[in-house]
Amino acid sequence: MLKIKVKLVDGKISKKEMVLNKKEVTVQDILDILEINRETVLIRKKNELITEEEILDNGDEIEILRVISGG
Amino acid sequence: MDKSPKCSRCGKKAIIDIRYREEKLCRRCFLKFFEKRVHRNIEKNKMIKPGDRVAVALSGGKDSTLTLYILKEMLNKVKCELFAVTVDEGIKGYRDKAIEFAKRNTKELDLTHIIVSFKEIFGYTLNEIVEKNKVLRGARGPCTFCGVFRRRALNILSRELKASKVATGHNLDDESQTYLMNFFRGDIESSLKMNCDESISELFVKRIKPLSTTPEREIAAYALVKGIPFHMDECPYAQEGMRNVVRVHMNKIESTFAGSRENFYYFMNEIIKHLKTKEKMKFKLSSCILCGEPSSKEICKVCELLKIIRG
Ligand code: SF4
Ligand SMILES: [Zn+2]
Ligand SMILES: [Zn+2]
Repeated sequence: MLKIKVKLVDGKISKKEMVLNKKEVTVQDILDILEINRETVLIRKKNELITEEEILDNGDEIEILRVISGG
Repeated sequence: MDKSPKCSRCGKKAIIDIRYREEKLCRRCFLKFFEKRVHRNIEKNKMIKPGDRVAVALSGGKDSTLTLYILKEMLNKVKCELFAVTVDEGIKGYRDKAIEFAKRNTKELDLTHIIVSFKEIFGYTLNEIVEKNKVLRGARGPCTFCGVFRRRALNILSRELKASKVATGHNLDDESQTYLMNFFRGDIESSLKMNCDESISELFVKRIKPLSTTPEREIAAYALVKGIPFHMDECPYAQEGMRNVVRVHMNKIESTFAGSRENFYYFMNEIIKHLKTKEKMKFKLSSCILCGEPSSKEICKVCELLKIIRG
């Protein structure tokens, strides 16, 4: 089981904690679950940009920044 | 062990996936990749030459802000003048905030910054226009008024300031969306006029778009990596235009078939180029009989819209 903290920055900020019944999870998996198109966002971990293929560790906190205006 | 994806060029930790190039890039390689493409676009399309007086249309958002930074950087190589102009449409809680960022950046870069408002030029803020036209949507929605009036304001202002070029922040997403919107509207003429030059009218200041080949997402990434402050909120009227629908679908296509957006953009550019030469489509604008500004019709779009507002 993995716990990932997600901070969604989309004009306003919302936070959620996701509990995933998986051994391994990537940023792309998180985007898929949240139904967010990768073309519309950038992802940061510890203030650094990371790619969608990055494998996340238990307890990681990521920021999903919506950078495409509208939609 | 660090299991992060690595840069395809140098092996350092990748910060972004450029899927349409099948490359992941680290911070340094991404900045290089980004700048090279913008410089190539500027050079290939002969956007600036020595002696130019370039007005950057600065909204405070990421696209125009980066356009300003990149052109400022280029001043070391090309001797020309650079300053910023901002059009305040009068969108409360949105543009006023963006303008604060615009001021901050022009101050940081030590550039002259001139702000002009819809209210001063047309007599109404965009908020007032929307208020007066509550029931109107689609082709008569806020973005129509906003776009038509902003282009006019920019042209008047840059002409008065004797600018030889106006640089806007239009990116690859914007340009592709515009092509697609014109396509769905059956509007070839607008596409033909998208990259027209000053020969269209003596009253028209040529526009350049240094970021027209750069995807919007990468512009945001570049600004974040470089720590350039920009305004990120969304315009309260943004949901109302056709552009929004087109944008969502374009992004869906791009995420499934990486490279589609770029391919579409270059495909349209080629078509337009051929149409222009083959059909000898040379536009010449005459002057609006009411306001004297360049127009393809007897009465220009601005005067037409002003008539609607006044009722
Ligand atoms: S979203 Fe529409 S109304 Fe808002 S600034 Fe853009 S063009 Fe103007
Ligand atoms: Zn690298
Ligand atoms: Zn007119």
